[in-house]
Amino acid sequence: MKLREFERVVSESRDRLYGYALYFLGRREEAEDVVQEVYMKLWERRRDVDGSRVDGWLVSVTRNACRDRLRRRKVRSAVNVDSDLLPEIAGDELSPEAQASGSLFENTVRSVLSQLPDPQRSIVILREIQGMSYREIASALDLPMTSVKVYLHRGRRALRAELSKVLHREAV
Amino acid sequence: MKPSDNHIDRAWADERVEAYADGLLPRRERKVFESMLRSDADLAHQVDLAKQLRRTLSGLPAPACPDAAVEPVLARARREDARERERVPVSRFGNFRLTPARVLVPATIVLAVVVPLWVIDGERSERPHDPAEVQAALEEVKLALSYVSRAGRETGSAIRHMAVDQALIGPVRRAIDRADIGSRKINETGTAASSRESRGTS
Repeated sequence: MKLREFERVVSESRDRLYGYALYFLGRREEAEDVVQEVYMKLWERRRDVDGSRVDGWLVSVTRNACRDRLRRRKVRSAVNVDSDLLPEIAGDELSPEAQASGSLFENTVRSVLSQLPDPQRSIVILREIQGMSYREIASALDLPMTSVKVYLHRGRRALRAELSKVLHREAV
Repeated sequence: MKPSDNHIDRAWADERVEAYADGLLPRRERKVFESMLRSDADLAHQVDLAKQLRRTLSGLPAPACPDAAVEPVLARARREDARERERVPVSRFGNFRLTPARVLVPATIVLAVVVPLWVIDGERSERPHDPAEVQAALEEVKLALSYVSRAGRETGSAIRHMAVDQALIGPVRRAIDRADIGSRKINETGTAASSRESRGTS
């Protein structure tokens, strides 16, 4: 991969990767770090990465980087009891108008999403928020298509169950 | 699990909420499911929730990646690419390297041929031909040619030594030597075996 192609890949995929990392981690600074780390890795391995599969490669590396971040967070919070394990709702990405209009339901969805286990969380983000096809997700996460569908089904059901609880609590 | 007309299992319905919300239930199952929706308020609530969840997720904003996240990587890539370009040889001859010998030998040959001819030509145009001077010029040409010839021979022998002797004759000779030693060993073993056989028969 040459510089021109690298620049094109970065320009075309940066928002998607950042969105994925942000919804996965729920923290803007960490999402930025992950994106930087992933592109640095791509540049360093530009001679080995297959240009026709670069999109899947990027998603896969981003997912691994996000999972590493979560692991580190858990280790840190085991030492210092702080609010690290509590998901930070990614609402700070929204404009003030959007925040004002953002419903309780939407904020609850964000919060519940960041508590889903992986790969359900990845698959819900990639499919429902980013609109990727089952085939693309299967290729990026190195899973059979049937597994992708099963995980998506479980993820949706878990989200629905959590939302039911939260909304019930709010109502009471 | 397949529901009968009399007993519709709630677990069966729960499993089909997502498929119903996606519009993917087969016709017969959809009819059973819809009849159940009319009588089960909680199931209807779950379907509403599933539909609302899809709408909300697909409507979540796609945040734009800040430049601060990618600019340092792009800057590094551009720097490294420029450095790599400087390192690539301009020559079309791949790994050909210019050494002093490769410059001096052709330059000497060119000078040895061109300078005497130029001197001779200059003198001839100034004065009429003097037999003694012609003879001297011829001597100079001979000298130059012998120098060129010697330089050529030396270059040739150096190339032969490097390319032919080291790269071709050496390995062939070593291979012959090894084959020779091998055949000698075979002969010796063969002779020893035949002498053993002859001793056995006697």
